[in-house]
Amino acid sequence: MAILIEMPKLSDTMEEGVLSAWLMDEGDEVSSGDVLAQVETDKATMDLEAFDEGVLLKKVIDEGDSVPIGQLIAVIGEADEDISDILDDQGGDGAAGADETDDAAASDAAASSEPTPSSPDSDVVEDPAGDGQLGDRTPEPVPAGTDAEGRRIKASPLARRIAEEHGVDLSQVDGSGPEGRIIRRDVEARIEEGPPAAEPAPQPDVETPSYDLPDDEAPYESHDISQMRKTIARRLAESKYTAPHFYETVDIDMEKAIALRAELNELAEEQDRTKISFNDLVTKACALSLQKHPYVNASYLPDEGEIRTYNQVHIGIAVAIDEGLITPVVRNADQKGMTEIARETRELAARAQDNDLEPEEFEGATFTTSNLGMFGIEEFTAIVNPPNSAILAIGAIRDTPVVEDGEVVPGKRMKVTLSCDHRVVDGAIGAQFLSTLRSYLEEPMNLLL
Amino acid sequence: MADQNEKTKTDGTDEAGKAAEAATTEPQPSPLSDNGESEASRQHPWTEQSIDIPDGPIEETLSFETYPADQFEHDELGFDDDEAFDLLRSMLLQRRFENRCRQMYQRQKISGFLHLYIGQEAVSTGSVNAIRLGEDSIITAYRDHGMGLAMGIDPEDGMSELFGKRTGCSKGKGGSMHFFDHDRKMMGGHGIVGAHIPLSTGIAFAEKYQGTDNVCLCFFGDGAMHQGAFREACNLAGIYDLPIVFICENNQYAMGTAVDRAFAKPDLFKHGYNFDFPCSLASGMDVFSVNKAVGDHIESYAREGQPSMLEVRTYRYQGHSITDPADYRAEGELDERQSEDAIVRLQQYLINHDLATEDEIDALDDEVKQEVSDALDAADAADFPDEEAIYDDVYSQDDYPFIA
Amino acid sequence: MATLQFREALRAAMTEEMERDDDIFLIGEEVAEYDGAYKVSKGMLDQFGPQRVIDTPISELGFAGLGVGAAMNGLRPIVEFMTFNFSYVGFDQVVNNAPNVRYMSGGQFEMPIVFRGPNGAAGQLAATHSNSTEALYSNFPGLKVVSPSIPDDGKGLLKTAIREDDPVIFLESELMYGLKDEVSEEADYTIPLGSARVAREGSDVTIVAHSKSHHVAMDAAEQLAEKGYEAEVIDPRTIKPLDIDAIVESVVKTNRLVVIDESNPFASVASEITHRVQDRAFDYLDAPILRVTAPDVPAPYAPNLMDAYMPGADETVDKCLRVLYAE
Repeated sequence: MAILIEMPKLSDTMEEGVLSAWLMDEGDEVSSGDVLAQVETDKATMDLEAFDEGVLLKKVIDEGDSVPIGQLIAVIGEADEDISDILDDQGGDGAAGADETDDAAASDAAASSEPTPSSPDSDVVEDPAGDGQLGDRTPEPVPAGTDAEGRRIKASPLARRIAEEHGVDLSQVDGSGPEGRIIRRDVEARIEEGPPAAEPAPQPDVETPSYDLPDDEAPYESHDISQMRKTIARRLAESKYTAPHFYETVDIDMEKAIALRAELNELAEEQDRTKISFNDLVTKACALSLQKHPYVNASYLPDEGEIRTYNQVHIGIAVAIDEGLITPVVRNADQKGMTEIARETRELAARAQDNDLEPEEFEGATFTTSNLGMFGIEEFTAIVNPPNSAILAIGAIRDTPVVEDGEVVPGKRMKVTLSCDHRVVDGAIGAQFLSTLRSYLEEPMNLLL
Repeated sequence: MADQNEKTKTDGTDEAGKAAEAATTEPQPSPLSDNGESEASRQHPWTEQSIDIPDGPIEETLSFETYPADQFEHDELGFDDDEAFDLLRSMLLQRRFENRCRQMYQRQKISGFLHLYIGQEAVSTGSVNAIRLGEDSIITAYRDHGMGLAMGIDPEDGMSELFGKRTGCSKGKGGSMHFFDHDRKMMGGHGIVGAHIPLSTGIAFAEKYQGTDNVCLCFFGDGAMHQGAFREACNLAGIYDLPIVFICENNQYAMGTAVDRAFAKPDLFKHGYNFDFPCSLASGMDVFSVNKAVGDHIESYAREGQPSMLEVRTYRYQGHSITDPADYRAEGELDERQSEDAIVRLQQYLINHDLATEDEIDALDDEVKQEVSDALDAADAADFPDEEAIYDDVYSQDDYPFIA
Repeated sequence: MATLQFREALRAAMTEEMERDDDIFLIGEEVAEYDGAYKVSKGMLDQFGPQRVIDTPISELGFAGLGVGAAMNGLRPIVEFMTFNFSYVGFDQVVNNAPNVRYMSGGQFEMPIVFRGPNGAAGQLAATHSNSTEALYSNFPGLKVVSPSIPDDGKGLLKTAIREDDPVIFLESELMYGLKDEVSEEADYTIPLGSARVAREGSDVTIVAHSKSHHVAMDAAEQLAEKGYEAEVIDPRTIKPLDIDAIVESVVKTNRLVVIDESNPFASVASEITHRVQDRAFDYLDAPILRVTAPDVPAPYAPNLMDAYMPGADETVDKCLRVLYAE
């Protein structure tokens, strides 16, 4: 399924942009969040970020080309996808719409019926075959309830209001009005029937983007979207789209931390106390570092018109559970001893797995860490957990040759990557925090003071 | 005056004369002419116009009164010495006021359209001094500051209006083109060329209907006479015998179009003849000529229920509006016209007649300048209308609930 | 109550008011000796004399302006346009002087004037003599616009209009002058402006229509009743001020609205009502608001074309069924 990348509007006065540099090549795998290219607007040079996954199939314009907003820049799709029709369509004046024949056919159809459902905001090409068949452009009126395809539910204002009052999910109601419009009597009939067997999930707050799905015949399994998944989707999408992210990685020498942990755990075993994990060391190190770098322990709150730096340090620790992900919080981690942090983290994690956390136990973090080291992930980037201003992605400790005093010797290193919300944390602030963090972990005795 | 404009029959045969009389039907008496109470006073509805067309030409001899400059003296017009001096004060006030308006426009204290009256002050002052102020009414077009001041609108209220302040004579809702003073019967200040002329017929109609002997002076420019409204208003005034004087303030240019370029018959005073009005021509560069002419038209005609037409020839020194450089004038034209300046003329008259010394005139000028300066200060200090005032005076009802 | 023709009800209003207040006079073409082009002022010359019932030449710009000037100077004119098609000749006075003098004088002058006469199409009169002016005049702040549909409203509203200190456009209809109905004889019978009349109650669909269209609405409501739908018919009676509350209240009950307006559709009274209802009652609408109006063409002459031009009961029924989802 080809996805068209068009020149975005990157400043409020921008009318066209210059593609100053391609940062990816044709054939490269593209992930959401990747920077495809740089675009020079009338004000600044900005990143052209991908919002979809796939392979960069075609760079439609060259470096140095200037094109108006909305004009096709690139096509992303599946590796072996044929996009010649798209490129042909775009060949003329670069208009992103269908060709004139299709337009005329579409407007003929429109004249005899209500406007047909369409996805005007979608980048997705609706007619990959490019055969201009009317049926593809003007599908039959879509009965409400089949909007898994992201179609807008048509309902009269009154029907919407009644549905809202009675908690009726309009996607579960068949519309009997023109073009499948749900009208009062349809909602009232649904209320009469009572709720459907399965409680319909509430709609997420974010608008669902629309995609054309693979062929209906293709076998698949349907999974309900859980509330937690919806929350993850909403919060992280919100974060990614509103908080400008940048990333800083530092490689930390963990030799002394490994030694210290071994000592501490020997003691713990003797005294029957909870053992300390590397993650607990990092938690403690983060807590102490955050004390010294308040802007990393902060929130950007535009509605309040302020940036808030917190006097307390509450560290959220991302925990993978069956349904998804949750971040139990170790409160006042800077005040707590290593053992206490270890015990509390273990206990919270266990109850997270059992879905047994109270809201106050996973809310109120001022900073978050995410550790994929146990999976052997060396380094990765995380999305800032709003309203935090940063998140630390912790990689695995690995054996690696290091140069010491001019000689290559075996070393123990761990990469951590700080994702920062640039509205609060600037590059230098992030770097200073990481520097402090590294010195704590490289001289871990300081963690015990 | 009495025989002015009287139709004089031709010296043809009696028969031809009779035929001419029949063909030029005498107007029927107005339905309003005698405030008739009875059926008997009603005019008959049928026509008496002849369709027997006379042999030979129908000829008429016309005469029109004139009021040239330098012909009239203050005492014969009923002004005592102090009153003559006050005429100068009125005219000077208008000129100083208008000059300051130019400056204030350039300083952006005044915006919108701004049409200045400089050069025409004798017309307003001469006319206002011929009416019974507060009883007789005046309506004019958009070049209205001078008329308003001559009628007694306080310069502070006038300047405040131009500044758009709540203390303005129209509460900052009208601006330059819409000076109104209900109590002095200054009926505006109207912006659409010629559109106010029919209003004068209604104003005069109301006086007649209510049985007063008040009259209405309707001022308009030479350009307004092209509008159909002028013709319709004259005809209505004629058939209803309305107490009205139509005064064409001919300042020679309709915006940039010279009067003789735009009229098939540039003797504008003659246009009233088409309605059987008495018509005259007066100099607008001598306040006494204007006063005499307007006074005659009021007392001899308007108060007798006879509408009439007076053309006053004057000259505006500035462009049509503040943004008009008046490039269409002939070279030297302005200088030549200014040599006839009505203010200079009156100053000379006062000195020649030992009514004032040059020092006294200078002192008067200083006094007037100070008055205008005070008006500027007051206008500057005043507040703009409250924003809520935008909804006031749309309808008679306060807090009219239907304004969306 | 008396049974009067529409014209007689209007005449009664004018006569009663002129008896009450000497400052009121009637002026217009053929209002006196001719007894009124449509006999609305029949006999008024005899009663009030030529001082107060005044014939004019064919001079709308002149006599409309005369009325405005007289209103500025203490009188209360009733200016009759033989039809409102001719008001366009005096347009400047009606829209640029009458409604503006109060405002631009800072409230110094009153404007108690009524411009009245027949409005809208009246048979095969072709394009220049079939204008519906209500939306046009409603567009001018300072004017009030009244358009009654039955003789009783005609009387009560005209008496109110004459007593207003603001300019009122009072729109009648040639085709309704002969309409006979009960009319109040109550002394001092007035109906306030801005108050709609619910002519027929119903809970299924609201039909709003003024003037002649009101009768179309009543016919359509009868037909709908035969099909089992009860229409609520509202006559706004005054276009400006508009009793939008009454319309919204009805739509909240019925959840659907059809507006009949014989005007051309663009920026019409129907447009305005439609806008206001979606603004005030959006969440109560179960269907789009539909209009029944003249098409956006000049009025034709040929009888079949004229039939097609005018809003009719059948078209109204069809649109009601559409918003009822009952097609």
